[in-house]
Amino acid sequence: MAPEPAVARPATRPLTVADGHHLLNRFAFGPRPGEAERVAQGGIERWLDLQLAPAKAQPELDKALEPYRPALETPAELVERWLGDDWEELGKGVQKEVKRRAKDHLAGVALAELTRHMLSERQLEEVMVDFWTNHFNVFAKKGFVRLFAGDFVERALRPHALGRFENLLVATARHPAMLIYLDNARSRAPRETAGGETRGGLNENYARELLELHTVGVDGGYTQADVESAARVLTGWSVRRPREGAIGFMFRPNAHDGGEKSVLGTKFSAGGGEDEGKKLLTLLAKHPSTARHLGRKLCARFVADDPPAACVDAAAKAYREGDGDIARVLRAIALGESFFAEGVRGAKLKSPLELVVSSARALGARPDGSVGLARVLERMGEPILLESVPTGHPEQASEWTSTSGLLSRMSYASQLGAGKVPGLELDLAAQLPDGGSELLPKASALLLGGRARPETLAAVERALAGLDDPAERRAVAVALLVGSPEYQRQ
Amino acid sequence: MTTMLSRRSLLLAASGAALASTLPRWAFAETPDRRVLVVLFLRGGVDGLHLIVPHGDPEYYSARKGLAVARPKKSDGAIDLDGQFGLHPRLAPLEPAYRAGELAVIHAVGSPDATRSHFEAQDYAETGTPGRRSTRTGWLARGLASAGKGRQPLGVVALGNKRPLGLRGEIDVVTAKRLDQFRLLAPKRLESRLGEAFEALYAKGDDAVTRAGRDALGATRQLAKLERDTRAGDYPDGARPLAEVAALIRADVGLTTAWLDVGGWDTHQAQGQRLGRLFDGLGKGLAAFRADLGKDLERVVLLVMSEFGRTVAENGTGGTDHGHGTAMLLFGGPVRGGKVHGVWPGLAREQRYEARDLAVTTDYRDVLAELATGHVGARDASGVVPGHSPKKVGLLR
Repeated sequence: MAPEPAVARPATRPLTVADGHHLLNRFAFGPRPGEAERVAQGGIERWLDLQLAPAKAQPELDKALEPYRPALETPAELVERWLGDDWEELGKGVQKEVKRRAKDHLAGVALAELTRHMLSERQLEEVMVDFWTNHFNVFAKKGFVRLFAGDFVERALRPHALGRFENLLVATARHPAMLIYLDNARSRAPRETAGGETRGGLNENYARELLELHTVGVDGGYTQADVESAARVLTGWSVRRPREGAIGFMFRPNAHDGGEKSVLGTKFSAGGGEDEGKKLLTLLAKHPSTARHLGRKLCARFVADDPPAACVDAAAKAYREGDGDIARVLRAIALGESFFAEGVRGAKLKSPLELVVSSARALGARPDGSVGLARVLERMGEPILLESVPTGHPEQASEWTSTSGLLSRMSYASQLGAGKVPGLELDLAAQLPDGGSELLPKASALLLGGRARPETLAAVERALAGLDDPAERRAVAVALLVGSPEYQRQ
Repeated sequence: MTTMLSRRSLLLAASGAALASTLPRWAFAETPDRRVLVVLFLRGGVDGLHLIVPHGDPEYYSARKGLAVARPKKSDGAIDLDGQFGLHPRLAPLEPAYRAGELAVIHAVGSPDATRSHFEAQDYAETGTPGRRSTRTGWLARGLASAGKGRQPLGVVALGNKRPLGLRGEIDVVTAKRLDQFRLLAPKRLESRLGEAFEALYAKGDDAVTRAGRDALGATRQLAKLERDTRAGDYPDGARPLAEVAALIRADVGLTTAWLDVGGWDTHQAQGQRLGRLFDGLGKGLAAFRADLGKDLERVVLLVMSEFGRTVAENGTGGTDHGHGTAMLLFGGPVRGGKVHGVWPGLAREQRYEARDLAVTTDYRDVLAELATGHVGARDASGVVPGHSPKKVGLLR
């Protein structure tokens, strides 16, 4: 890529359309037509205020979301719809039927997410839902997680995506999707058998990831003993089995370890019961290592894969001062000195999800009511809720930079230009009415906002030579711009 | 960010002494390292007791009244290997390789972790860190990186739906369901126009993204040529991936590793029929692969592995349920074949793992480490199977 010219901080000069593109590429899933211009006029703070204000009605979005509404039902509604009122009596049949239904259901969940990523005015919330979906990863193909994964995003992550981290953490910790995925549902206090042996029943999976990934981070200053103690604190946090009726979280007193524990130097006295799990989550949410760990991850998402120390410091400080208020952290990052610093613009690689959503937004495309797009993302390596490892889909460019990855991006771009991406509805002629000499400048402005390299524009110009059909000209211009090296970046 | 060197740029750079210390040793060798590892991952948990029949253990016949494969010499009986173990009769095409010392069996092999979940057990078998959930790179990717391999175009291919966890890490992987589908998917009328224009867009620039795009387009060109050299007709149905890998090996384009995912091994019902059919394809496929490679087999090792084995006893639906230990096959010129490796734990109830499954006497990490250091060229095993001190199994010559 050509080096970006040094850019001064917008505080010291008027905002440009390119600044608008930069902000919307990171704090939104890219600009829709005209949006970067509006940010340039209204300013960054005004845009943030609107994004962080309470939700307003969005009729256009609601209409597009309609075909995917059934996927957003609660797990109880889903099993009733699938199995009838007497589903509790089906025993093992419940799992079988859930598995049979799950594929279509999960594709619907993915499309409900994609539809909102593409069309919602509340873009910062959408970006954060994607962020938390990976931060609190669950794998929807593990047992009953299938039934709960959509609900997890809808009712544990979404309501808290811009709220207080502690509430988000508690909502994830108590959600059946997480309890099943990381095995806390079947973790039991170690007990002595008649022979004097202790029988293993404690499962540390969730406790370990809670510390390592969700809160204080791998360098957060905890030991293996802390992991064990945290697991003991959380014993009994479980999920109802089908034959236990209803659906959802359940505390199992018999599984709980009533002994004394200590986590990160904080004592949990004997006989604590269900509530000490909550106490543990509060302790972790307020821990300074959590402020740093989350600050670092958020700066990696919004600023640079290897985030500048100034960003991490400012984010961690905002987290501590705001008692884990996520909106406040995001404001500190967007308005901090790092975001508009030299070398930040266009330096992050779009994930496949970001490529698909940003190109759809720029060109006014939307899901067509089918679930075809779920497969598109799966083929590009980023299926929603289907990553098995607890770290979720990666943020780092190096993880997405492969020959197969680039080929799939060029193929996606070629299909997009031709209006042939499965499940995506696109009217290029509406966005690019002139198929002639104004086509390339207009398409380049929509997609890249002035970031196109001269050699890219020249190559597209050459590819357009000799093509007369406006539809084919649009197809070629869009394919090459969306598939260009600079469009892979944001 | 890690620097990415293509084979071409390595050879060009070899003249520059300043770079010499950063280059792997084989870049200077008179004959480059042409060894190839192929992993055939049987997804679903293959029943090792059906694959390699312990016909010398009477417990086998009492635990599997309906499912057991008959003793050698009986009608449709096992093909005896060493008086104790035998190949499933549908694997008869593999017998010549075993007799020629090119096929080894490792029995009662598996994970130290108890999980019977497919995805967890598969993840562990691919990360090489059983019990550790958060490892996000594969044992083979780390082995290749340690060997200074895995960065050249077409050096590593994965044939399946997605890049397997075993190959995730600091290497480049060509992933495709079939290699002839590794091409730019564009509308026919515009395909060549777009292809040429993308070549131009990615022609210059030394950042990782532009290089990957350039390598991708180069690989599609090479693979288009290769398609004509794929002897798909000699292989049974469903074995096209093996034919494609063999064509890549014969073409000598720098392939070091291929990973093939094969599904269908989760045989809870009607196991006899289903495995019979799958073994038939496996046996014929590997025999065709051997014939196709000819002398090139001298530099190839093919590992057949799965995430776990199945219960010793059969269930009520003519199948078996998720278990623990299983068998692996190792095939190729460098293999110490004609031998069943490992220690047999026995199948009596008290000899089983948790009183139900074949016990594990060989940790699969020992096998993975031996292949990584002895064939892939990893400097040592510590990065391949971290936290484990591998015991030597003696699988390679």
